[in-house]
Amino acid sequence: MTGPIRSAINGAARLSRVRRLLVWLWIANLLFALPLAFQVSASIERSIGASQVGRTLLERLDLIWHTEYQDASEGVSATLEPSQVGVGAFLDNLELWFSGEIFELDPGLIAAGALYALLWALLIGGALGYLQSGARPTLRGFFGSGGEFFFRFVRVTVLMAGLYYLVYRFSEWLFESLEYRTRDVTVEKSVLSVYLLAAALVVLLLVLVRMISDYAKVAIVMEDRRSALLASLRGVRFVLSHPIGTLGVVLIVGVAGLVVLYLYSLVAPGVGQSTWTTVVLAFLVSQLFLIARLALRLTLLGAELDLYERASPLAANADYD
Amino acid sequence: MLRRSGFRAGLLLAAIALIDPALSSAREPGGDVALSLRNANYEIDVRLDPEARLLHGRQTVVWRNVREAATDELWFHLYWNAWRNRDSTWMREDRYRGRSDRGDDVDRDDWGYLDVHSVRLAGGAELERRFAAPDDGNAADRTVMVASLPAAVEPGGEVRVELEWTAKVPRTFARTGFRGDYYFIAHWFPKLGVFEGDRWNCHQYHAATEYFSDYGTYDVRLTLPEDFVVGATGREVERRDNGDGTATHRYRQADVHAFTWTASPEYVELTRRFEVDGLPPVDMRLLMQPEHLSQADRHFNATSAALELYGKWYGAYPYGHVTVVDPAYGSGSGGMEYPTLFTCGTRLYNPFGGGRPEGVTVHEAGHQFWYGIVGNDEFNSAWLDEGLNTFSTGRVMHETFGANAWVKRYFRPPGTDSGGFLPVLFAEIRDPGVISSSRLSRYRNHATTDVPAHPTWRAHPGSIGNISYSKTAIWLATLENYLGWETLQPIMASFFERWKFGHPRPEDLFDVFDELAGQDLDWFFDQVFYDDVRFDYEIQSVKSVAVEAEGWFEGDAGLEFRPAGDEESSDEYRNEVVVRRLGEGRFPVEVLMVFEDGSEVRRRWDGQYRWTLLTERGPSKLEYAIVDPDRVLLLDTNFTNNSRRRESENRLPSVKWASKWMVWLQDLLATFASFV
Repeated sequence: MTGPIRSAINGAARLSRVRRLLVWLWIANLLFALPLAFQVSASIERSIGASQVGRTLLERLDLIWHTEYQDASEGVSATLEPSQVGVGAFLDNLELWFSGEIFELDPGLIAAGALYALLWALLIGGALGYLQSGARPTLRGFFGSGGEFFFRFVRVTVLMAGLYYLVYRFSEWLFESLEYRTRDVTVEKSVLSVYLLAAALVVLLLVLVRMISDYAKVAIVMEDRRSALLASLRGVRFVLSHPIGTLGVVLIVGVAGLVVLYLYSLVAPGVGQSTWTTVVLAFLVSQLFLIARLALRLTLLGAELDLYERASPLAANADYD
Repeated sequence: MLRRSGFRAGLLLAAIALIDPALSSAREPGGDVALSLRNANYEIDVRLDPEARLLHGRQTVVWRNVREAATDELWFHLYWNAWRNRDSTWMREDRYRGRSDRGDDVDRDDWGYLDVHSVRLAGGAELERRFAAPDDGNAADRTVMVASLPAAVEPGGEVRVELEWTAKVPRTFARTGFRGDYYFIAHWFPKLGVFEGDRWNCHQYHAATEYFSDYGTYDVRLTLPEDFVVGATGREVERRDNGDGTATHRYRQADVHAFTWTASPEYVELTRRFEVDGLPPVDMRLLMQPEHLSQADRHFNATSAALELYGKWYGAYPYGHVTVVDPAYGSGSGGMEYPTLFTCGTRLYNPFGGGRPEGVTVHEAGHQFWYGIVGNDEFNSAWLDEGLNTFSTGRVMHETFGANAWVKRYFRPPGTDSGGFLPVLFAEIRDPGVISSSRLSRYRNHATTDVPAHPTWRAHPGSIGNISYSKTAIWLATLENYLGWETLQPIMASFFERWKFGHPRPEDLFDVFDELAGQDLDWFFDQVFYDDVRFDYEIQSVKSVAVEAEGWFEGDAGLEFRPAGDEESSDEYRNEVVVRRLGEGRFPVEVLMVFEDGSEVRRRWDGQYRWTLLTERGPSKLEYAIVDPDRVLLLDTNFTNNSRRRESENRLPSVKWASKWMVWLQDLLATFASFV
């Protein structure tokens, strides 16, 4: 297990050398989300109008207003939920990711998610290049390498989409089958245990696809592979031939993620902000969590690069300015 | 608008029933005083074959005609035939109600039926029998059976018939059936309808209706595997080991209108005695799933709260015992009421403060009063028990447990009906009202989908629940706010006292209101019961103008022109509030005007015309106005437009909540990015 630990540490070290990447990715995330947030803000503003409800909403979430708002809203605006407060926002999305219901969201959100995924395919190329070289990032170099890998990364993503689809279909079949097979079990604890084991399997498969996708991109960056298919196959081979290392890295970063989530749960803003200062402060605290989440993602990529490099020392290194 | 006169006959019949000497003075051989007419009495001997999931039953029914007309027929409900095949009326309706009970997922062994082999007069000949479909003429429906008698049963006369039957226990439909070795058996035997006027009230089983029966005495012998723990309506009066691996449990209960039982080897039996000054004691028997033992106190406490507050508000629980059933996981039998027995419904993890299992326990315990003791016709007027009970549940919960926190259950395995296993309680987000926000929302979305006066069995099965439960509870809460609890409580108590062990009709409740409310409330019931109007009042505009404004005014030298002064320095303002009635519903409302100097003025408006202008002259500008500031009219379908500030302050709150949504969106985007 020393391999993945070392890679995880090295991954964090790589990120620390190119910290500004983190800021750029966060800004990209922030700017991408802003237009939709303005839309929702305007929608809430219209709903509140000049009513006294605005005062109430500064103190707490008025559930009667919320149901009226939801009943009257459509599209993206209707996705405002009480559970989006604090760590609930993360838990909601974790549930969407695990269940595959993320693809059943409002079409506007799916479109935004798809566009963001494309943007991410561009950004991650730039990020991987600098994580590999450790050079001081520049925007020109960042977008240069991002553009260089963009179409290959998109093709890898399309290939992985097929795998994700299969995993989600398998997941649905698995749980439906288990529900049927446990239909005479009268103890929730027993059923929950079975479901948790199944969930662990589904999560493992989702992580496996993610690892294949990551190592395919790593192979593209490090070996300048042109074929997304061959890079993906390289990713498959690498993951299967280094199961402890690849999975170990994910586990270590995952545990770090749990620690971050726990710490965030201690400071996560609730519903009581009633002044501009406290609203902004609450927003900034939440941004710290999102930055930490991005940092973990980059650390994972850095660790995967490190693991790949050490396992494939002859891999070609590309030069980046 | 439907007319109420059609129901007056019911009042007359009920009055006849009330003065029937059998009701108040009959003394059974055992010495107990009859609380009800006891005109539908059953002796049932049933054996469960757990391998084949079959019930083999023999029963004797003694029916006494308490009406003024004779009848030469007996009409029986055969409820379980609703799940005999897909052609039953229940299954047809279940398909279009949009909340399928079982959907297409029914295996061969999952179906149920109730097959009657024999119906004969006691010691006599076999009776002719046929199936009837009085509601929809569905020839394939087998949920109503008519047995023809050789001679009419005259008023006051009695008939004794013997039946033999076999029933296949279904995998749970409509809260009855099996899961593994857990059985919950309700509405399971051939059961008489109610003879009313000169005809039988015996409706087919519908997907969204419940039940209606006369009161009587049930004496039931249940033969089951000996390791089964049994719960049933009534008290166990005898248990006999048969020496063949089975045991026979005999339960007996008088003055009830149904008999339900449950059995499972897993139940853990707990008991506690409910004792509160001024109310008779009640032995509470809790049949708990072992994995829920840590929640036993919560079940007892909720049951006690219901017994105490319903007892104090409406009338005492008379049976002396109640069985509280914690159903098996996934059995689908939770949250249902039966005489002296009810099912709750909890999960392995249920944080305290989230309202469950307390809410469902209080509600089903409350049905012992509204349904059990006051036995309305649920086929035609389900709202009479569901609505009154939902309102009462809200009051008990509010008084006993306070505002519920919002709970979201995570880990919902895809493709399953399991619901979330892992709850998270959002302690800061609370539902403070007697009527929950979700119930208000359900009403809002179904306010005009059905008229409550329409018979329940004819209503759309997908929406009637919102009318029966939510709308009724909301108009009762509105009446409480309008009349005061000190007026409403005696009304409901009188209704309870007058109709306990009887079959009240809607008019009977309205009549009690007419008698005791001190005012005519027909205008209200015409809107909320006989119609489907929507209520919505709004403050359309709030303005303050300086009295000394610019323009031509009469002065010492005739008309003088005054230029615009400094409005802020004016010492008198004309404050104007325009209130609008947007819905068809009319209700008198108060309007609160709050001024910048902190002073307040309350004005009443009869709420009749489409709008009104309220003006107040004073030294201060208006800050805001609220129509119905105390939320008396809970039927209002839009509370947000009830208030208006002269100067809007909606930017900060909208930015605040949009920023929280944005954080969720940012995290969602990162989740989307994880697929790259």
